[in-house]
Amino acid sequence: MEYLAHTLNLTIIFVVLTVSLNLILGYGGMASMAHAAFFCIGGYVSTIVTMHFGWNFLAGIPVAIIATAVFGGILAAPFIRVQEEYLILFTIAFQMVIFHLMLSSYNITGGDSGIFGVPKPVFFGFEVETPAHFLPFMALFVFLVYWVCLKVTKSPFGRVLKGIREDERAVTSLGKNVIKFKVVIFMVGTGIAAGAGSIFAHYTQFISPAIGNLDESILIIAMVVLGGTANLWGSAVGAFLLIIIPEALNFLPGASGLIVPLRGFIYGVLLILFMRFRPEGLIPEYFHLKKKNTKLFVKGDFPFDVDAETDPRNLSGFRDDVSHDPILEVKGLSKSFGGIKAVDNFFMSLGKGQVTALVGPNGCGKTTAFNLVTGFLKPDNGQIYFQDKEITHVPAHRMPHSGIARSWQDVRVFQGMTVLDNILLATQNQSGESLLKLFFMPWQVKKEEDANLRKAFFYLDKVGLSEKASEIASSLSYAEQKLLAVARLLTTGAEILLLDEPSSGVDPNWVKQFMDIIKELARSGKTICIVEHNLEVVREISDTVYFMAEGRKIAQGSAEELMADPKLGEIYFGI
Amino acid sequence: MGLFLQLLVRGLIIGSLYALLGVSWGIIYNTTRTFHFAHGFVYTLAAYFILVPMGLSLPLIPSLLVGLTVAMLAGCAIEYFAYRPMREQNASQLSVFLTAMGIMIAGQSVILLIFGPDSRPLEGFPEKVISLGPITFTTIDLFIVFLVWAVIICLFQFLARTKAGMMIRAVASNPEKATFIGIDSKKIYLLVFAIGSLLAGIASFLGALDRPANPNIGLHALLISFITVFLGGVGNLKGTVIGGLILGVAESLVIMVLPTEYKMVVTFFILFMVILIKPEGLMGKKSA
Repeated sequence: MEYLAHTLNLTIIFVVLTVSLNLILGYGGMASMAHAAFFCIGGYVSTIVTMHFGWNFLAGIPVAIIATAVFGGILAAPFIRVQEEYLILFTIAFQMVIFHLMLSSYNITGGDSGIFGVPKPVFFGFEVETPAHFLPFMALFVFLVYWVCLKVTKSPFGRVLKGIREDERAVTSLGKNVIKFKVVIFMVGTGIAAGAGSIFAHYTQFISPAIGNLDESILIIAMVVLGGTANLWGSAVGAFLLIIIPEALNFLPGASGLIVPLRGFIYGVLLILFMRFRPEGLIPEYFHLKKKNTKLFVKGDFPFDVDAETDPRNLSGFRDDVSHDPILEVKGLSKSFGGIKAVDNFFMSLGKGQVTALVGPNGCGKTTAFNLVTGFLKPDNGQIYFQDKEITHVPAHRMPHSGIARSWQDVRVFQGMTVLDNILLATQNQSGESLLKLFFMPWQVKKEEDANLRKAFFYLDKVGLSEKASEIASSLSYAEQKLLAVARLLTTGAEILLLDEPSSGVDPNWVKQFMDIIKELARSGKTICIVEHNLEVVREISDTVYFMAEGRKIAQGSAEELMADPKLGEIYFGI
Repeated sequence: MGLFLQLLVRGLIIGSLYALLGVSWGIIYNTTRTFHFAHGFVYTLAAYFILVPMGLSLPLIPSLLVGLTVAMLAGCAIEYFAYRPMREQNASQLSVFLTAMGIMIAGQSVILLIFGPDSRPLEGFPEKVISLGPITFTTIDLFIVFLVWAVIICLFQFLARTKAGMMIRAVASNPEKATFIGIDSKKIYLLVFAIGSLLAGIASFLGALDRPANPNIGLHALLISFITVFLGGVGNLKGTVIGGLILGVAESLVIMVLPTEYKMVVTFFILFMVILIKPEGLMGKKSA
């Protein structure tokens, strides 16, 4: 009975570790090889504050969680900033260093032999002693962890994480600080692991560095992968199976000396086979989505009242009060790549409510100019002003908030997310993207989410996609995906919209729709800048055209003026 | 001063080994961008396939040939049977890495199951102590340094002057364009896995001369090799060599002020500071 209770408790600890690593690996898309190290650190922090300072273990757990999460976050942040491989590098190095450090710091950790006599939990004078006594406490713990993790992953915060896994640059262009989200989820996962470590230490009344070695970290990774990345229920399955297998090995006659290598062999082979033949794990991410994938909303059956603020007529109505004063000024922008001047002393001014087109032969610097203006590239020289405020050094993820948003030539909608989620993600400054507000001001998050939903349907309706709201974006046609990208761009609420080849690759029937939308947007006061190869489109919609060649502006004027100039035609068509 | 010089020399010897390790992993990573975690397994495998034939009283040179051949075959097999099919499936970097980790763990466990956990020294190599003023080292140290630099110079000459070397560099700098001019990147990938695994085998041999081999040596070797690569700058093998020397010297010199257990901490600290201040590595180029 006690053996069973103990095995169950142990399983719960590993379920918690697996779920928390799944936040980092499955949702954050980062391989942390140091999960066991953080587990162990958490155990030590709690041991030290309860044994040396005599604190209650209920105080020890949160201290362990917070201290470990902050410590891990600060160390990991520089590595998360660079590239995905660097976090692997960091966590392996950290794992090995911490393990050796713990082994050699006898007076703090007890070295090899660890520390005995970690205080038992005491509730109102009642000492929790046997594994069976512990079981309800463990059950409560795992329930709490699941509640937190499910809330996080199903929130607007989780939505952004999903977007990040699909396309980091697209998420950045929608005004989200990708690094911040990654660091936060890393800290949450790490903190939960530390919590598990501290409970484990109080449960076994013993802590040693042995539980924090690389093999344990890899075991937890194997559990996540086996169960299914980005599915929290799969993690429980994965942890359960990989606890049971070695327990069963114990009953094999004569296997006692071979258990460690056999275990390693089994995990290793399982990892290889799963990554190759079933990378989504036993329980895939969209396991229950398939059943529910019926259409939620039907066109005309608008689920919300459209209030005055978001009434389509207010936006599409002609507003003659729009003055065409310059709103964005680009002065002398330059950028070189290894000696090649991609953009050279480029000047541009966008008038409010006007459509400006950048044209020129391939490689003339149009896309580089876009990247410079939206902060995706840092200019070598020059300034950018938005309403007389300098924004040259505003990072890309702050641009939509500052009023400038861009679309991508290669569309970059989030293929694996629903049409609606694609739109919802684009809303700026959502409370639900802050975990503090998510847990401490849930009513505000709920209210905002309702309003955002309303807004999302408004924009979807505008591009004619509202009846496809609950479909996965990858099921849309290419033209529909481009429309979705436009709706997503509008949702950012930015004043200035930079569209990179909005009509390329779609057939002529759709081109007309794109032109109508762009003209309507300009009439409603949005400032538009497009890069476009289709000269018909340029002539039809643009007020001003900039002709670029070799990184410089060589002519400016109306479409008719420029097209009448034979010299430009020569450059453009290369004849 | 005497101690300092002694430690510096010791650091340069170890650093040479680190440089070789770094280059062995770096040539694979720079070219294929595969986080080849199983490199550590190849390293351990090489040591055992040198030591076991020697234990069966085969002379050194044939044993060495056996070990190096096994290492190359293992590296190529991992690329051919594990990484390539995953790339063709368009698997994410992360999945490829997890596969590599699976190979490393399973392989290491197999070595442990077959050969047991005991350390095996590489014996029978003539060792004499040489003293130059305050500095002492052994003939083995001298041999290690000589061989490492001979191998590294050969490798750089190979990359700079031969057609195959240029093809490797072409694939490393721009895989797409390399394909356009008719380079078969699959073959080049196999080639760099062969070269990298050969170098790992040589490093493993030299490492076994320095200290006995056991089933876990691969992990430390792996850690050192990729820390060296990221420290020096991805895509820059010269940077990797310098990174290896810096690590070796730093680990050695730190004994003057800290207990030996802190060796790894210093390695980590250097890595952390470099990534913090210059994320692209000491000699890396900023990516656009």
